Amino acid sequence: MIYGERIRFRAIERADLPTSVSWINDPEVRQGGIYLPFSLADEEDWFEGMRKRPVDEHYLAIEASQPRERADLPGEQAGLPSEAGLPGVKPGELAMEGAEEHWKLIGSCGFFNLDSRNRSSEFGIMIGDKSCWNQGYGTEAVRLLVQHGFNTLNLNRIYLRVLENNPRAIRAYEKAGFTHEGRQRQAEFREGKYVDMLVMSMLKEEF
Amino acid sequence: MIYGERIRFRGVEREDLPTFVKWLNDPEVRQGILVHNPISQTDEENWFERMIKRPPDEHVFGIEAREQVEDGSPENWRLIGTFAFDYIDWRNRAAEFGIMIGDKTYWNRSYGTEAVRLLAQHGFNTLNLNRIFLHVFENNPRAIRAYEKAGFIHEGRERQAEFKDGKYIDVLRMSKLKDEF
Repeated sequence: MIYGERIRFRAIERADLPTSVSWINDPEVRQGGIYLPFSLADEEDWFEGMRKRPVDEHYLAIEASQPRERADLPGEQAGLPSEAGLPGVKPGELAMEGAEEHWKLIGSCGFFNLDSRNRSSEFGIMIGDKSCWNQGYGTEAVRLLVQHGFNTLNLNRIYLRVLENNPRAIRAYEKAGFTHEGRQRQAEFREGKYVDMLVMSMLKEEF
Repeated sequence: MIYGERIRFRGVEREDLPTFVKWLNDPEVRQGILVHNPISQTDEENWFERMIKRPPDEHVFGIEAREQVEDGSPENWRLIGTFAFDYIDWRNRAAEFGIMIGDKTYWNRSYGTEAVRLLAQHGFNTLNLNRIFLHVFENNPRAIRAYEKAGFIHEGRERQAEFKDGKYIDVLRMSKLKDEF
């Protein structure tokens, strides 16, 4: 796991694929990415291909920590939380138990086109759970991925491409400290017309 | 064949490979291209076998220059370089290209510019592309000048994208659209 403040990255499991497929087929989510209907079989193919790629290019699941309902705590009555804890249980242990229940899958991200000689990599990210939009989760995920890229993978340059008509994503990249460095004119055909693709990057020395 | 004023494009043959190996190992030629290892004849033969299996529109073409000949004698053409469109994106009608003038006696005589103009013509008028683009190292002024003269527009600077001779250098991206052709 790679932990941020409100989010963490974990490896993607086969059990995640149906959720990904529902996101990828959501017209609002897909605006930024895939343009064809996408089946679970397509997603399974993608998963098998992804697993054969170098480990540093494996995609990561983004999970957000969820506020824990008091009533969910095992062995606890509704009401004030037990300060003393349960007999024989050390503080903190309860939080570890069933921790999966308190993290919610909200998206995925990962590096691709990783060029090990030039220490450069492109990345992609999707916040598929729309209830998490406009709350800074994308920005936080980008920051955490960049930290992983510079501090663990020893990259020198991290870059991305984003369609000009995706202001929410562009804003997240800007807030995470990315610099605009190019505009690939008419690089994508969407909804009957060509749109520009922006390129943004961050260098190790800017991190 | 695709004919320009002083040049033409033709398919690449196996017999051309020793010439390519010579160019690709020339330190001055290598300054501007994406090759950083010594290249053997075997490497080049392997490259050729992969290349001919690619879609025909992505095959590498030889660039030939018409040589000065006596009146009445047959035309003589000399192989001076290569170019290819890489990975044509048919849905978006966009393609990147790479070009090399390997014969240094043809440098600084606008053969590169003419070849870029001819390949843009081929891309827009025959392949029906909408966007043609390229990457070039920031420290390759000869190539940048040729692309500018051929009407390509600067559209980005990929900062520190290439590690070369001990330091990171920027890679420039330039493009030309069908409505600019």
